[in-house]
Amino acid sequence: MSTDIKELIDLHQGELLHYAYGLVKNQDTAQDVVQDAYIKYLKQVKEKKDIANVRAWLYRVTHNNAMDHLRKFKRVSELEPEFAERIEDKQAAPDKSLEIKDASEAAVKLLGTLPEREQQIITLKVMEDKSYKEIAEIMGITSTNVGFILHSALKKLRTDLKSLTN
Amino acid sequence: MDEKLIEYLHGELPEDERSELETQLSEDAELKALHDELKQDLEQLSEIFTVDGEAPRELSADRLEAIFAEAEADTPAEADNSEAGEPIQMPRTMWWSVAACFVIVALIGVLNHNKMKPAMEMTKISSDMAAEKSSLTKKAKSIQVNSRRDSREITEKKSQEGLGTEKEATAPNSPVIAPEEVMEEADLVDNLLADEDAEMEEEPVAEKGAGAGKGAKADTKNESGENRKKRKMVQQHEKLADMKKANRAIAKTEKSKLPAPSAGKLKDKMKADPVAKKPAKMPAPKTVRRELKKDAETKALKKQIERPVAGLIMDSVDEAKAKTAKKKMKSKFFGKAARLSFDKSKEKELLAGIALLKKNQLAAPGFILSEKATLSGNLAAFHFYRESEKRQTKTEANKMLDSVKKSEDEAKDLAILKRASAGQKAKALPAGIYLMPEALYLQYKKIANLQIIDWDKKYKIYLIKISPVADANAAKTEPKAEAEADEE
Repeated sequence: MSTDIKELIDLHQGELLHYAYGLVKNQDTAQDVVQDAYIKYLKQVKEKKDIANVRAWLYRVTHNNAMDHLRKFKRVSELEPEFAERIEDKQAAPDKSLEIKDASEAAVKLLGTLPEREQQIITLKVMEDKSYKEIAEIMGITSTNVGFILHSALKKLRTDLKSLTN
Repeated sequence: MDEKLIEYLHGELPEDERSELETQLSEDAELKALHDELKQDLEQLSEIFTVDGEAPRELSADRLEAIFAEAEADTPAEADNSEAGEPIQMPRTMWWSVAACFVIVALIGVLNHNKMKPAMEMTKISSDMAAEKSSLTKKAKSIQVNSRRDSREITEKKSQEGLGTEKEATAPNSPVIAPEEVMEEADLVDNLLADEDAEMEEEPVAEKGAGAGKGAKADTKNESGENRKKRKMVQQHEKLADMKKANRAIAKTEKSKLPAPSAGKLKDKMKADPVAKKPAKMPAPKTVRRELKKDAETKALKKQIERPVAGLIMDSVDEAKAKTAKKKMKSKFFGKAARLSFDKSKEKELLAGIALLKKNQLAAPGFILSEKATLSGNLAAFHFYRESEKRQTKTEANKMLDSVKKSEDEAKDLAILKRASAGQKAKALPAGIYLMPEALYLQYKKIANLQIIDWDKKYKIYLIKISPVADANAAKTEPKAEAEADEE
């Protein structure tokens, strides 16, 4: 068991951490998200539940964990703005320019408004630069479907971003 | 085109399509502009979403440890399982049956024990008493024998010495009676009494023998012996009566100590009938009895409903039963009927038909023919239900329906119906009560002698009778109702 999980960690931790970081923009949180995904995987194995595509499963769980975190963060910011500001300040990279930070924040916020499926595909394509085939594998859908969903998601994002910049 | 362009920009477009698009782009300025715009947007997006170099590459040591700890926590159990191999899993049903067996055996054991306890105790007491009796009897006998022997010796000695007087002669005989203590202990055994009586009778003979040479003395001895005998007997009987009373009292107290109230009854039963010794049959618990009753009722109802006759069956005019039959019909019978011969949308008509049957207090089975169903379909349905004992499954019913093609000669069907209505071919369509809508009735009327029993004006449902062979001619005379219906 431990050797299996070690192999799995060696194989996928890099891309999963990258993916999680792209979503949560925080190293610790990204690590937490990925760790949680692996622990959930172990529980699944313990319960003898079949996982057809482990990589896709880990990606999905990582994505869900990250989204949960973002939702949680959103709730905190809604309830306690001062506390949320403190967290934001901590999480924000100090060397980033304000412009990029603003644009990035806006994009992430916009991304959050999209359906979960579209969010994941955008993240995988734009942030991770995965091929349609890879995305299809991770998502458990066809490549054609990936193209279609990506197109509609990008269309929405583009228009929203344009209206924001204008 | 957007989608294609995005695919092109992502490098996902197949080779042939890509070259084609490239030529299009070089020719079409608008398309080229769209391409450029899209490219710019995508670049902007990737710039925004691009993850900088701060993304961690590996999980921290403590997080890895946590994951490994989680993995290790599972390992021992798995290892044990792998060593032991696949655990033998008894089927659930088997578990249940085994458990049920144990419970039943335990119950029987407990019940038997409780029921047999008083009997066993009684047996034990009686056996103890019997043992005591026999020991006491032996004791008494030995004492009596010894005392008799002693008395004989004394009498012989005295007679030899010539010292025997009437008083003295009587004295040695006193030990012949069992000593007081022994008698007090002795039980009421008939054998003992008989023995004692026999011994009492022996005494005078001995005395006679002893006093053979002394006539007068012997007579007085005989006389006194008889009196003594009588006196002793009276005394003994009195004592025996007392002992009996005492024994009864003891037995009563013993019984009262026993826990089961049925002890006396059981004893009596055991005495009267040896078969009664067997434990009584365990009565089923109330719930089980209720369930069994329900089950029996359901079975009876099922039998009534599932009679192998086509269509609706109304065996009873009892309202409650009709209600249940209706429910059943909806869930089961009606489901099939709807598929085969009755349109479910005609439920109101069906209910009107049921009302007709009830109104006319008909216990005969009815067959509902639908307006929509084809004649062939109806016949197939009919055949299916006639042979429903053999063909129970839906698949078989469907197969049967399929086998009766709609394109089949309708005249053939009509001919069958005609013959059946005359009672000639009861196998195809027997005499009976049928419910059918007006349209069908008018159609059938042309080919068969149908007798209207009743009809529902609102839903135009007809209750039709097809008489058996003997009544075929009688059936030709239709009631006024039919004429009225025709007029309508």
